[in-house]
Amino acid sequence: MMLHEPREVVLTAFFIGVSLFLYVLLGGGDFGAGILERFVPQPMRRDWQEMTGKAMGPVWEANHIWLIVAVVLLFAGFPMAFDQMVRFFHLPLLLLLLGIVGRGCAFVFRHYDVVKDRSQLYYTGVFVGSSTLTPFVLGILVGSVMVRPVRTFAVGYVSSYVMSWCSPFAFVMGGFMVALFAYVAAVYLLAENQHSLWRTWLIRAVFVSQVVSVVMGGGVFAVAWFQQISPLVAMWHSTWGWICLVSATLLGSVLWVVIRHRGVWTLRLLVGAQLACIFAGWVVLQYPVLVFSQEGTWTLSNSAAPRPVLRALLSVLLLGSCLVLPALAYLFRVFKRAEKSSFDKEGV
Amino acid sequence: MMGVKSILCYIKPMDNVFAARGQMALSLGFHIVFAVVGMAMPWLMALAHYRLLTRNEERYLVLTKLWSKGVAVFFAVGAVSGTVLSFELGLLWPTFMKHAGPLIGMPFSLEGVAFFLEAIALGLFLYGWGKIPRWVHWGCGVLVGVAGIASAWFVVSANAWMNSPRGFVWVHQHAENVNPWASLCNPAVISEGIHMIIAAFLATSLAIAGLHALALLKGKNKELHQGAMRLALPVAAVAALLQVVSGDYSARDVAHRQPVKFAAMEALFHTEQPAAFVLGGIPNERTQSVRGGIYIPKLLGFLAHHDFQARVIGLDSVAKGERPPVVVTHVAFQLMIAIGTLLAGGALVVLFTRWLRPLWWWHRKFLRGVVLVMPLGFVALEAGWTVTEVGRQPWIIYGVLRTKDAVTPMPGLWGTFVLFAIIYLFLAGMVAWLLRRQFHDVA
Repeated sequence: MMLHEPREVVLTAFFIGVSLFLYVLLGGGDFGAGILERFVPQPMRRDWQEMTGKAMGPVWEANHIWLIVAVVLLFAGFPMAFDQMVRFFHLPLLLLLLGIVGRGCAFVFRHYDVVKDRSQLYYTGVFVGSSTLTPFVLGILVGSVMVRPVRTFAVGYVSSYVMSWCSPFAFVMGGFMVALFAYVAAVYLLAENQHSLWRTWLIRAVFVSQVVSVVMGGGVFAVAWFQQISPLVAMWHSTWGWICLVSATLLGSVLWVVIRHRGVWTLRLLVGAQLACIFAGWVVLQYPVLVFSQEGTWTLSNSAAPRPVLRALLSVLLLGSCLVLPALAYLFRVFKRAEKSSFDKEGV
Repeated sequence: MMGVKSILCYIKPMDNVFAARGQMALSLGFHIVFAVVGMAMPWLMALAHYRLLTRNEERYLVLTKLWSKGVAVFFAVGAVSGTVLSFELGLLWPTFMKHAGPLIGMPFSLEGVAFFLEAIALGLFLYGWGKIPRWVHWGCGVLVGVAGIASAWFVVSANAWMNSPRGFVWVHQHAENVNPWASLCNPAVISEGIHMIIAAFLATSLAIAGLHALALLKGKNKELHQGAMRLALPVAAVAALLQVVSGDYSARDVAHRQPVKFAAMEALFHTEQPAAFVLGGIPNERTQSVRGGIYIPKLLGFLAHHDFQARVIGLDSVAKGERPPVVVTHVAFQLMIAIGTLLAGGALVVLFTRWLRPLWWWHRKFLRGVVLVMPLGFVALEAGWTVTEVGRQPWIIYGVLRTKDAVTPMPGLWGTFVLFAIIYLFLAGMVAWLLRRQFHDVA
């Protein structure tokens, strides 16, 4: 795969990709925990909420910033493509926002409300609903960016602003994302709760969500086949695409061999590697297109901002990485290493 | 149902530009309250925490934990509303972002870095009790405040750029010779940034002092609430006095850089030398005059240029289509400076009594006074933002791109406007309700 674009363009695109990946890797767990909560039996709910609250509490705010990083890099680095996306994907982006707002607020209100009464049920309802909606819409957006030309020349509201993203492929992709996030969350929670009573339930959750993800993934390919969607058809001919798909599947199986192993990081790294393969597979198929449109295709090169802008962005990213990554590493070290002692003061 | 139908009749034909402006204004107006609390409250929290670590009094533990809860809730709502804004920039104003995106990418990415550090520090602080060394824990609380201010500075610099665009040449309806660093160092940054930061401290600490004053009026937990007020009220007082100086600097800066905006703020329809300052009054754009109001001769020249004989440019210096809405800008400005003056006066009282008559603070009349002025910092905050945003119209990039040319072509924005209005109203209500429940638990 030859890279024809100037260095700055590739680097900026790379950082966008990394941000999106980290959003899925880290934030995906947060959303997944909300999705899984729907399936926790009522009597166990309180305990589940405490367990996931402790897991997500310190890190969720930081996890969700990766999305903003990606958006800022997109509008600063590739403004023409961003312009098309925000015009024609207005409605799914709106739904995405509602999901993000709902989830964040419901989570915090539920935790910090001094009085624990019936309002807790409402918070939970909004939390679970928005945790499911957001990945679904993310899937729609990914699906739309892969295949759907935005209807620049269409006339009429529905043609332009609905048909630009509404397709069976996008919806199946949405379903896949929901299942994937649930799977990721189940593995993370299992890794952190190997010694607790949740272990059995979580292993079952991992199994079910993995099966559903595979089925939905198969569905994605099936719909693509029926609709003759070029990137996915192209995948059959792409070496890298096959490598990613096979690796992801293999890693999924390796997970079951290792699931009895009680190490916290083994499971996390495995599912992270799996996600990386899936993500890389998407990038391989997507590159170098940012969004298709009826008036042409917006790629990395033809939608990029001027070089001075990209260089300035990259220097900020470098500075930012030097500050943020060590801080993030410290955060995870404090809260995400294996619990050895029972000295565990509840947070505020 | 009939009521809803008749309201819809008014809203539906709403102009797309007006709906977009309304939605953006609502989103900004909502977000700023939470962002401001997120900027200033961590400092108060760290102050209480410092007292705890050095004096080891139980009440400071309770206070620190109480204030951290406030920070946590306000930060979360601020974060999600900020996410909404970062998307709305594109969703509502795609043409603006097409041109400005690369130029304001710099301040926004720097803001992103600062905000990221803030979120990490907050996670460490809220959940790190007993898990990390004491002073590292305290340091995280301070870092939340530092990063909050840095993040505010950068995001305000993006707005400053909209008011004084630099770093490009506007050729054939788009930007050439783009220099992203110049856009970061535009002339309006310093005055906007300083004024915003002080406003954050003023509004937040005044509101917090007010809440604790209210609790004191109820009588319980005297030690806790007195300690809280002793921390918060002096901060508010100092901020109120500094804000007068900052306000003067900002006014002169605007008079110099955006004379038309200044003219709208002061309802100065015609260029005058010397120029009189009008106190109060409702401007009438049709008759080009101000109804009611007291004229103070020569004062405007002094406020604008520190020269009583100075010539101050009026709205008639530009064509009608390039003038901002005068009524809104003028009334908002007068409201803001009225509050600013009142609070500055109150600040002198606060500082005087703190120094010479500390016991007066616990008099019912004093406490009631604090409670009465409690929301004014936020009112002034919203008024001030109204001045600078409405005063910039009809431009979205001052002198370069008009607001109406920047809006999204997607029709039906009245729908999203109504949707977000309902959401913000609901969230505001929720936060108020949560605060009330917390208050009754502790007061």
